[in-house]
Amino acid sequence: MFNNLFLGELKKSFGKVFHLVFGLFFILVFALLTFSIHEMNEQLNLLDIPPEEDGETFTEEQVDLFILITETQIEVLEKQKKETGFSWYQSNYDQIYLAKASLKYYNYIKDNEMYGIPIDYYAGMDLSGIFMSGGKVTADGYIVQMLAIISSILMIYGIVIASGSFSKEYREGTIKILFLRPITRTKLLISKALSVLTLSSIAYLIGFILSVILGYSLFPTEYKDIIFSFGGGAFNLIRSDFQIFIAFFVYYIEMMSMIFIGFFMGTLLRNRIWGIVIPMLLSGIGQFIIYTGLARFFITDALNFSQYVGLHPVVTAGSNIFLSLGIYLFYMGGMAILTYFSVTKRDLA
Amino acid sequence: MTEVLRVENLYKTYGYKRGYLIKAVDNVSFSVNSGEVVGFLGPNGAGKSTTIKMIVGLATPESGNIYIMGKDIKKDREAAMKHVGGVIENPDLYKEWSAYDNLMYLKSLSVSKEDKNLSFKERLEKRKAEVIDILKVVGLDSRMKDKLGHYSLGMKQRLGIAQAIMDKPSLLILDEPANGLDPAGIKEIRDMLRRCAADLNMGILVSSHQLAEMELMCDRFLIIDKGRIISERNTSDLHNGIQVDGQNRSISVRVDRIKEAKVFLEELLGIEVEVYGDTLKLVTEKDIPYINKQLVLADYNVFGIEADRASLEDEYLKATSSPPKKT
Repeated sequence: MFNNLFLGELKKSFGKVFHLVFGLFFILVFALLTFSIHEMNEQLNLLDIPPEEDGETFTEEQVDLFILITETQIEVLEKQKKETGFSWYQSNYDQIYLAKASLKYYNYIKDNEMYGIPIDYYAGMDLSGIFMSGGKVTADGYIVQMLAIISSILMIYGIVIASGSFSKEYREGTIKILFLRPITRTKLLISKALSVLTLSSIAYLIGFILSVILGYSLFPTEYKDIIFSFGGGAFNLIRSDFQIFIAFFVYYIEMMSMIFIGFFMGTLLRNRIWGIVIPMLLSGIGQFIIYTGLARFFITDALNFSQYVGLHPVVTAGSNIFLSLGIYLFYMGGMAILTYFSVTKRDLA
Repeated sequence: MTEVLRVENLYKTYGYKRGYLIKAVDNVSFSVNSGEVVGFLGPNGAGKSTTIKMIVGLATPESGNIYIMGKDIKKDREAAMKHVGGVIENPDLYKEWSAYDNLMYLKSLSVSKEDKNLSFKERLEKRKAEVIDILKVVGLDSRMKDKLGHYSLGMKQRLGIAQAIMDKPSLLILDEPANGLDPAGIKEIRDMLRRCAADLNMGILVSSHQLAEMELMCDRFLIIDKGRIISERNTSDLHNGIQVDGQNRSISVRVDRIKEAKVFLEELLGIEVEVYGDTLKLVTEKDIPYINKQLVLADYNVFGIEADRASLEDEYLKATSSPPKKT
């Protein structure tokens, strides 16, 4: 019976006109971007730019010196933090967190005696360090770039579906017929959440597969070992195309989180418009919240997983990965619990 | 006769307004038995919809109990709702789907014990056959592939009833089922509901403002006003004469020598008798054969004697216009 409920929810969400229009828009954006990036590569080929040096090369003395400089820098920053007081938290990013990540990076080179060899690294989700290689766009660079764009477009798609999942039933009165069937409201809630998850995931997977096919058909492939870090620690040597998987999951989680905020808000407020507007507002107010000095306690900041990925974590002042995870779970869990009680216990007006 | 619905001391408020507690439903108790059609009447805002919503679990009572086929909806909602079909307020279904798709989907959400032993294909075939059958019953089989957006209100009403009765529930709850229907459609719905009660032994609770129609359709009436059940009558009692208070009935007598007969009856029964043209009106606990016999023995020519037949409208207006009892 749950299967039937779930399949019914998929059918309800799969509006033909909406999917046709959105599908065409998606294909158009995809084609235009691919064409632009491909043309850029062709132009770069014509310019015949000499290949860039791969990564940085360090001597033992240099590494020791950088460790010393960074340790001193951290001491100075800690002192500044104490003197500045609360306004320190109003800065754009956490300089101490970044310096500590750099210190761990130099210590990693020292511990592994990686002297005299070129070292490349995964700079971060801003893509600046990975998009180009030897002056050209590589297949993995293209795929990661496309994933960033796909996840943004599909976030809107998912929010439109998610926000209307319950609110449309309330508005059109069909919820009464559903509540009269011998199904628990918990099962209904789960089946609706699963249908949103399934449709958004399928759309994201289609985008990913298209990117992989086009990326490896149209762009050069170059592999090298790079250093990867998560949350300013956990250093590892990874093959450069591994970034595709990192980007795949980080963008997927960010996209899905926003979609589920739309689901929770649309259901709680029984209004599709609020279900669409609130996640959009959340993604747009990040910069303003920083100036309150309390950004690290807001869901907006915790949703930005990409700030912890890469060697240069540009993290909100005072935050760290554990705090962000806690804040994320608190807000998302809170919204999920409120939604559960709203669906299962609240009266129908 | 099985008790399909029992409502005990339901109570629900809508908070305070200008310092007064708004009681939506105040200590409401009643029951519905299998095979009977019960009319649920009351003015707008009397508490009908709130009571119905509480019965089907769309609203939560602050106190009181609801049992459907003996199952407490608070403790075993899923099992209780297996016995219920209904249309609440409007027959709202998925308008972008056809009638067939709507019923196939809703039918798929209630799989019976016997169906669980069938293969997927067999179950699907059975579901299709049942859906087509029920669409034939409500006369929508020829339009079953049309989207609901193209349906008239009457067709939507019939489809709403189709989804409510397709699982042959023990309890059927309908809110204004004849809304938007033409006279022929209203008769069809009435006949269909009477058949559901008689042939399928369903207990039916119907809420409506169409009193004449309800009088033809229902076996019993509950009248609710200001959140309280203020009257409960059987249709047969209603037709046996106006019960004025307790055992007293209103009776009309057509007789010769009307002025003498008036005095005679007043002395005989110890009551006041009124004259309306050629008819005497009296309210008494004595039955018609007794009055008739006394008049004949006293040598009066009796042309006609009958209990006044009350209409549901009379009963409804009388009940809802009287001031609420103080408690």
